[in-house]
Amino acid sequence: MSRWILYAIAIFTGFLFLAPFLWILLTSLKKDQDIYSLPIRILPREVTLEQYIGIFQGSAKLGIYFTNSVVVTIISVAAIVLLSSMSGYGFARYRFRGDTLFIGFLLLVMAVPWAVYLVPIYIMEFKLNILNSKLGLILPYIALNLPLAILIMRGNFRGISKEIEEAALVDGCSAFQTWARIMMPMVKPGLATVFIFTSIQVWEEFMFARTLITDYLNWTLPVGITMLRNEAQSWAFGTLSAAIVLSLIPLLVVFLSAQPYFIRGITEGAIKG
Amino acid sequence: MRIGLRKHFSIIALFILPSMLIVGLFMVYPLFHSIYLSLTEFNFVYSDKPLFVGLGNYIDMFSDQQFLIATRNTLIFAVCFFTLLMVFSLAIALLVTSGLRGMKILRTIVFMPVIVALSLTGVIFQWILNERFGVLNHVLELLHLDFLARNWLGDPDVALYSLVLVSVWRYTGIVMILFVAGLQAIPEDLYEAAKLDGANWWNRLVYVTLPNLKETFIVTGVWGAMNSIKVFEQPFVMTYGGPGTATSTLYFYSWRNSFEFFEMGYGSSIAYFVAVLVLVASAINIFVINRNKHFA
Amino acid sequence: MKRKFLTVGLICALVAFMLAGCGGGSSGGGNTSGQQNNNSNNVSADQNSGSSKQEDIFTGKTLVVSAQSWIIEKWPLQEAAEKFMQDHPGVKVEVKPAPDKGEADAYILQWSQGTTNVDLALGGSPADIAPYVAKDFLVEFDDEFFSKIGGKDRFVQPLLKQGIFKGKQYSVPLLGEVISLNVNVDHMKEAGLVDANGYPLAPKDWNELYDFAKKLTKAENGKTVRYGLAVDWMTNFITLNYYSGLVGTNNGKFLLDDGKTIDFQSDKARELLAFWQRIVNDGLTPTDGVIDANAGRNALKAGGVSMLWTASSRAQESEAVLGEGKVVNVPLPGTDQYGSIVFTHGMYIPKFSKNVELAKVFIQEQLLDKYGQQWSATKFGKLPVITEYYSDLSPGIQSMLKVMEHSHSEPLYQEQAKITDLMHREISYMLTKGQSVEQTMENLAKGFAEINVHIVE
Repeated sequence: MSRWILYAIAIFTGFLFLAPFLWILLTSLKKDQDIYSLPIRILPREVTLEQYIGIFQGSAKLGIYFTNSVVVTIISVAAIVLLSSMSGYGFARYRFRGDTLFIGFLLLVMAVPWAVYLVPIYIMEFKLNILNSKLGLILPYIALNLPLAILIMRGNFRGISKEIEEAALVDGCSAFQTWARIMMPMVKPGLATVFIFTSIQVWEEFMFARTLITDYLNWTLPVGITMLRNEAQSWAFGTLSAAIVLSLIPLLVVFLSAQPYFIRGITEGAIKG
Repeated sequence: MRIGLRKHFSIIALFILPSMLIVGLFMVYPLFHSIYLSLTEFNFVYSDKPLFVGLGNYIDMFSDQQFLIATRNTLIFAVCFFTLLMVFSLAIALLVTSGLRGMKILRTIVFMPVIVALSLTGVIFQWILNERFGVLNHVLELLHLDFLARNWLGDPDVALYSLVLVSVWRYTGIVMILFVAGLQAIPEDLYEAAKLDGANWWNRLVYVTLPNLKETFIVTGVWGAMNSIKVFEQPFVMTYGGPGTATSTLYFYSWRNSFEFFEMGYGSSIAYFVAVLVLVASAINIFVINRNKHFA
Repeated sequence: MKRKFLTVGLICALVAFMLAGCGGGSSGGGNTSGQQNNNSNNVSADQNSGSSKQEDIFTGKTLVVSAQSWIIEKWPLQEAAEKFMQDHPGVKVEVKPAPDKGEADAYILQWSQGTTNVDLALGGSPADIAPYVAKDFLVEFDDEFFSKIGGKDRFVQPLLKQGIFKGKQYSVPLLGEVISLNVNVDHMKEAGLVDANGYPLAPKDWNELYDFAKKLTKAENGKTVRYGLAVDWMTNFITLNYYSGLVGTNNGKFLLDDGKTIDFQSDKARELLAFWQRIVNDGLTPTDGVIDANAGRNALKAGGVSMLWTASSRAQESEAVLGEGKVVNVPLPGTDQYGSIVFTHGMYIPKFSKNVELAKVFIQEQLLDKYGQQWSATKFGKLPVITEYYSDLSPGIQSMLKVMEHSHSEPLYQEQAKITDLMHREISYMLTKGQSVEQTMENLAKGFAEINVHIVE
């Protein structure tokens, strides 16, 4: 009996989470009149692809924005995962004077609303001439997301007992080998966590992208789609829905196919005998 | 072996270097410059130079009605959002790991909102929650639940909570996954032993599950605190702080001061106040969890 | 096996998507990026004989025009760019979208560093442009500029005046808008609110407007299916709509005698605010306009509201959906006599641009040209800035010209953002939280005094 209740809850929950997606999909297939009709229609009176066509004919360059986002995200995330796993290990094992200070610095960077860094970073990048470039986004993204990543990895590394490490050293492994071959595989959950958090934060980041990129061809996806909303100003939801659906499809494909690895990554190594 | 260890450790120092370089070089100037700004009065457009006022901004903040309202909103949002987020995520995680059929699908569905950018989530829900054209009210009507229909974003008493619900929809997936990982790490025998001792479902939850999720609670707790207090996109995209000031959060208010009113000094000081809140919340979170250490 | 399939599938999907984007870019974007397109323009222009192909001093230059996205949609900008390129072979014009004011300023950071990557900026009210003038970023439009297009007199004066700061013309208006009522003709007919010619009546005062709204509001099963009147109360229109309410009913005045304090406490102010509160409390007006800038126009187009108090362009915009002549402009009480509130979107050139003269020529030849100005008026109700262009346009638009000619501009405050914030907030409280009119008036006056405003000269 209680099983059925659980199933009911599961289905209800699933529906709640899925419904907005369905609604956007339906909206993207309607004509403008259907979308803004009163009373509201749930199903389209007539299924149409005109919203999608409108996007490709318009000045929105979704494909370019998407590519920009992909490049920036992949590079930033890769850098962060690598750097944080290195530093996390270093902080976990190596005590030096001022390390608490540096950790405090990281915490502060993390806690401060990032809008505060906008103008100083803008001015800095202007002087270094990296404004309006992918590098100009990647560097701040790394700097802003590293703190949390380092703290997560540090926590993970501290959870590994010292004997394993010392055993490796006895076996003649160098520091680097120890790190790469022995320690890293043991912190897969941490890596996966850092990977998810960072990917999401970088992918959806709006403020810095909007300010540091001054040419619309270099915009990332969140900025580009917001422009679509402004362009139409009114009765924009048809186009917006189509744009959102388009931008979600590749993500969904990646997500659905990568999910099994991913979940395994998080849980592997966490299961102790 | 001693020598080997020392050499090992000095190389580890190198591991830290690249990160320190990037974060240090990039963030030191912005961090100090913004702290300095927070101690000044500076209108980007109309002031010639920043005017040093020491802690003046920080003191003025507390007699600024808008600031106090934003603080209240931020705290309400943070408490509601954080609680709901943790409870739902854990509950769904438990459901998903309970062994029922089809749970993989549920897990995927719940995680899906995470791939939608927060600003886009805001745009989507602005549409769904629209009083006239929005589908939520329409569906409630169809289900004869009219009395539940509201002006979700236009009613000052409701708007903030609407933002909470949207945020919960968006973030539950990530936290759920982390809990799932944490749950799967708990050895079965602990549960077996508890069952033998006669523990029921609730006891097993409280005495076996929760204590073993300590690590997860720390990560999700700190991350959750950050995202409960540093709230910007939702009010910015969905309501622009309105109606009135009902959804104005501290981060949003800080941004407006800096970029809409061009008061860079005041905006920065509000931002640092937010930072303090986040740090305090994280500290409390870690402290509370570590206090229950002896359970593990 | 399944895994490999998925991986291959996802890679294909990603690549396809990126390629589609690039493809869509060059075909849809036209002259905004591709080199090829421009070269083909060159070729065809060269093959044309006899067109005005003067030795062009601008050859080899690229003009970068940055426009708020809605302008790119509502004004034939791409067309203008292409025509210009044909007239000036060897010159490239790039049209780039810029973010709206709502998402923080597009140019100030850039220009404060002394550089610019745009030569000509389109879009921005005088209040938006004032900061640029304050920091001395803009080029002045001198008499020489105006002599090339036949003189300043050709302009609708109240609109042109909006570009004057510190006595100099720092921006030229691209298009104008005036605050009025946008009404659905069929609804008015149904309620018997039209004159002998079937044209909607203009309300003479708040009481009459209230009556109209009441007659137009329709309810079914206890739920309102059509509101009689809607007002744009969001930040982009709150100040303008407030002023427009006072101008008509207060003998053309919405400021106190000092010329800089907004009237928040006179009897007329009370009447206006009380009217606003009353129409909401009595269910004639929805409150979604308080937080949703598009609620009004969306409802108008969907037939969910009969009268909309906002910029006059919404009427033409709605005609595109509801049919020509189905939505018209009607003056707000008193504004046919005392004028209403106008606002403009300006064109301005940053000093740091290396193509200042080219930008000016583009304005003279294309942006102030009859074709674009009339196109935008007919399709979207954006009012032309040159008086003589009105003679070909619809009676509805011509009537707006009359209203505009003695209309007023909003004052230019340094602290505009804070003032807007104050008004939006207090009026929101009055409309959605039941704050009394008296309290609202008091808070507004007090809040305003606290801001200690400065008028931008």
